[in-house]
Amino acid sequence: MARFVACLFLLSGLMPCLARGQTKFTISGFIREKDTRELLPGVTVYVEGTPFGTAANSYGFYSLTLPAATDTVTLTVSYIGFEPVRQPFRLNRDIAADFWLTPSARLDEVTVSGKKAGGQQVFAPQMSKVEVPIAQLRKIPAFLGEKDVLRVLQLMPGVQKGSEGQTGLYVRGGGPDQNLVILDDAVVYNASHLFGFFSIFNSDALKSVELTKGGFPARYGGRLSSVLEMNMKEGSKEKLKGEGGIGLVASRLTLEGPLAKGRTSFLVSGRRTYIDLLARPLIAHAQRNDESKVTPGYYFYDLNAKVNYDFGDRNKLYLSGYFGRDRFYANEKSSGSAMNAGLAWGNATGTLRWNHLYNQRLFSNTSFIFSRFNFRVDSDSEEFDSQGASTDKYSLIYDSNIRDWTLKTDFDYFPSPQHEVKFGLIATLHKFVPSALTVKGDLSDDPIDFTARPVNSVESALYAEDNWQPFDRLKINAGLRLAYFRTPSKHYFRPEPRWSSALRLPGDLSFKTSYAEMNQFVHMLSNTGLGLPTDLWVPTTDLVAPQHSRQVAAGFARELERTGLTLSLEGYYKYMNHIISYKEGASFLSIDGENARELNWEDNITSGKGWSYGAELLLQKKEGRFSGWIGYTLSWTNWKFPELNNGRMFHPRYDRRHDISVVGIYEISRKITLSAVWVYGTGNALTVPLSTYDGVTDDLGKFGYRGGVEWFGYRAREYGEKNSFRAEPYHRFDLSVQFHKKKKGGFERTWEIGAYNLYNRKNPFFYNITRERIGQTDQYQNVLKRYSIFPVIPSVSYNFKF
Amino acid sequence: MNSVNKPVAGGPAASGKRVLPVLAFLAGLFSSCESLVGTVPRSRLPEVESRLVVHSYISPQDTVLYVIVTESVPVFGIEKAENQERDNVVRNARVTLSGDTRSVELQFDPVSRLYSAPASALAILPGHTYELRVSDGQRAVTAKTTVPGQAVEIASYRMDTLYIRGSIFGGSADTVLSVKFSWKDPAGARNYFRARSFANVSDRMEQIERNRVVYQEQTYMQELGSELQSDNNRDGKMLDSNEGRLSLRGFESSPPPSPVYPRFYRKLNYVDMELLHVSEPYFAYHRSVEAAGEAEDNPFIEPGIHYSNIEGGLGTFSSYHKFVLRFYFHRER
Repeated sequence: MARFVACLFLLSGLMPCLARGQTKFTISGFIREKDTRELLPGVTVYVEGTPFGTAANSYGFYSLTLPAATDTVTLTVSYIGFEPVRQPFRLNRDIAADFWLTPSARLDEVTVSGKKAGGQQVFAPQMSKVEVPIAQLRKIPAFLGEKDVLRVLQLMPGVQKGSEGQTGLYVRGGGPDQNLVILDDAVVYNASHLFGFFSIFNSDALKSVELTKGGFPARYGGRLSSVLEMNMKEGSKEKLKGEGGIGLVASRLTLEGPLAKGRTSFLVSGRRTYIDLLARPLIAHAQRNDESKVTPGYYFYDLNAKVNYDFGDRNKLYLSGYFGRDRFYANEKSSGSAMNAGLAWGNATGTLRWNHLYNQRLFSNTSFIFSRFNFRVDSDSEEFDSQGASTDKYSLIYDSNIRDWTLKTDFDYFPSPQHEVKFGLIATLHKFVPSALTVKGDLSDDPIDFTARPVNSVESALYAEDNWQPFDRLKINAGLRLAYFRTPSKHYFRPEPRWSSALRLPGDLSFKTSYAEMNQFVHMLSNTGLGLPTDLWVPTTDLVAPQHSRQVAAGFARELERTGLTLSLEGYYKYMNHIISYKEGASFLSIDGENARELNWEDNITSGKGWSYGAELLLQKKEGRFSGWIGYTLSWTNWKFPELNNGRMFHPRYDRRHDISVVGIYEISRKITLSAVWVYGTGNALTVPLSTYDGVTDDLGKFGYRGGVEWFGYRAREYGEKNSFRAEPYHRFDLSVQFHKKKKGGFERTWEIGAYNLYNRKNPFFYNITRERIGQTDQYQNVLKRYSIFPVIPSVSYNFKF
Repeated sequence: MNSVNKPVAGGPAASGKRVLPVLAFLAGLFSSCESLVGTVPRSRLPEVESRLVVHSYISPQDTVLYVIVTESVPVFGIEKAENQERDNVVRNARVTLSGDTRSVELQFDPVSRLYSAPASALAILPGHTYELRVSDGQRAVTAKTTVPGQAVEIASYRMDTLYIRGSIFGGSADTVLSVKFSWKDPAGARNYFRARSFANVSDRMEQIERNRVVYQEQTYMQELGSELQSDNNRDGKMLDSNEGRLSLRGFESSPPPSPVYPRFYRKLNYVDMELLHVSEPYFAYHRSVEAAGEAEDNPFIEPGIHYSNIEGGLGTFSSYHKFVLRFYFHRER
């Protein structure tokens, strides 16, 4: 395969040379939003009446090199949510042309969406990609009114949620750790707030969201199952703007504006929950007569900030960062003692980016990136004598963290209308401290200062890909990524061939195929899949090999011009090797023996294989008065681990046969938006006990044969095959109504009233067995109880914009 | 709130007041305070039959052959109140243990509640395979085990006393006996071991009754440490046991010469260091027991699935080769 890809590169490199006889000119430039001068990524640019077209890169830059023409050529520039722009050019020289798009404000049905993009979206070789326009995201009903990009992605085919309310993404049979989540080029390790019930991404600060489930271009790597790329807004270069919201759980505020008009702008966006602040006076009141006062609480906050400087068309500089933290705490104070205990986790990322335009055909971006995730349990206590002097002190800190420094540079080269080449390299220095435990104090004469040896490793990759159009009806993206990972004593070198193609068939139908190999060098150990911060990130080591996957996919895509609908049908097959899991009975913090000797995490894990396959159907309408989508996924996932389920194949917990999402947004008028979501999913695969029996170990319970002949059994449970019980199906209906009002001075406000799980479905969160008496008889039976956490949950929120 | 047994049904109850439609809607939603706990109908639960459960461990060092036969109880079955602690021993089974050339039928002993035969009835030889057949008329199960071919001896050991200060994990300052030993893994094959140590101790409690010092003394075996090991990634290397520990001052004590009664006195008679070279099913079964114990009632840990090599049933039939090193501290005359 690698050889094939190399030949392909060679061939594609020769093509421009063969065509050298022909004079060509380049049209290139940046595409921006008119009001804010915000650069727009992914905008489609195509030449009317020809099969040639391109899409703006992540920084809003496009370049089209075309044969010289005596007539004028007309470029059409279109983007979801914006008015399309047409502009004729005389192509007798290289042209620099920037475009300014105006947000579409029409309520009437947009009937040109298929036509206006010239079928470019459907005809792009990239398949298995999901885009959610931010404007649409804001209209979809949200849990407790908190708009969450990950929850919306869960409504797409091929993407499944885990347990009720969780924001983790399970893409084509992969786990949440197999998603490469990148925010402004920085990898985000834990995307959850509040044990996974909210994601860390504040949609007010986001400009674009793209999820790729398969057919990965060579520029992406490092995870097996998906790439979730998010870019933060740059901030308006025209005037100071703001938006925010007050919800039941949290409030948020975003400010953006120019620092030097037209050149520099900033964006600051913050969000914080306030249940702890609201509850504090109530708790204090309830404890007013108590000798000991306890203050429990929880909060999360996040802060996004970005500043950029535009040196002109050739150079642009961006500095952006994210900082977020969750903290649970309980403080207790009395006259004789004081105690503070807490659980905290958070991500911090920082990205410095430099865009450089060498010439009209060569664009580069160089990023210097920092990313850190930290999880900490801390507890300290102090006792006082009657004089208030400290008599005893004690403190415990458990820490786990991962820290990355990354340097990457990417080039976009546009040599001819048939070719768009991307190449680049990336190098990351990882430092993992899987766990560190420090215990100090007077209560303990034997202080513990145990730090699992930090692991330093280097992950790097070199890649090249070509978007090649050998014939009018065929587009190919072929690429190769050379991935490299180095531990202190071992090197892993993995070539990853990539391929995707689109063949245009009659009737605006496109047939697509893709193949991708991926390697994952960092792993997450998770007991629960709940997105708990106790999920531990660990690297590939001498003993733990990189995870590896191969995925093939094929499908059809079609744009239905008249209705503005796009339809896609895809089938996929994914094989995963060296995926890892905890051994049965192991957990994140395994302490052994009286002296708290920590077990090495490598002893707690086991590796195996996985297979995932299925079909996905998506019928989507991204804009218009009535928009939304219908998604259906039919899928199977199997795992086989020598040390799990006694070596037999089993379904992982989130294997889901059927998954359906229906999302509808209807603009009743300019003032009222109605939206609804209905989801259905097969129940999770769980392990429940089938029977109990007397288990007897070789010592017969208590040295039976040493002291006599008695034996003792312990109550063992027979579970049958692992995960052989299916939880009840999950389904729910959400509804929301938004009331918009524009006031003087550009102030807009929106009241949103919604309900999550409107018909009050009791979806299972977990199950438990309890023993119950049967009526008034003397008979008992065990019953399986289903515990739900979210009945119908109403919400109200107030959002504003100025 | 409704009782937990009420079937899950119904939607939001509407509020009677409709002063403001929106507020009424919200109030209606909030008032739907139904139980979030429901019972899964029986029809959705797996149908399970009771199965034979067999446990037997054989070794060339045994003085008696034994097999424990019980039956499993379906979790979701109906049971009588008085049977809550019922004995699941199967007393009417036919239990046959066969070697290469001989077979022996084990007899049920109602006192020990197991099937047994003297070791002389069937020689258990290293490297040989044995088959166990158990049938109770309706159900029949079989299993095989191959006794590890090599006895592995303890190559070195270390015994020491340590003074331990109390830690936050419990316990007060104490003097302890520490026991640790090593052995060489036979190279070229996958080997499994159980390393454990025991102490034979006599605990004596003295107290004052009617102005006289009276005492009670009890002698018993105490396990100091026990763990399973495999030679995975360590083929042919020296392997070490974990450290086994015994408190020498006993439980929360006022040891002599304390003038305070009651006072406790512990006498250490001997220490056994045991190295069991075990068959793979032995290792797999006991490892799964440990994992299941860790996972028990911990919602954050996946349940541990018990290993079984009993065809048609549950439990294990496995074997080991035992090497014991005894170290006397105090020998009764």
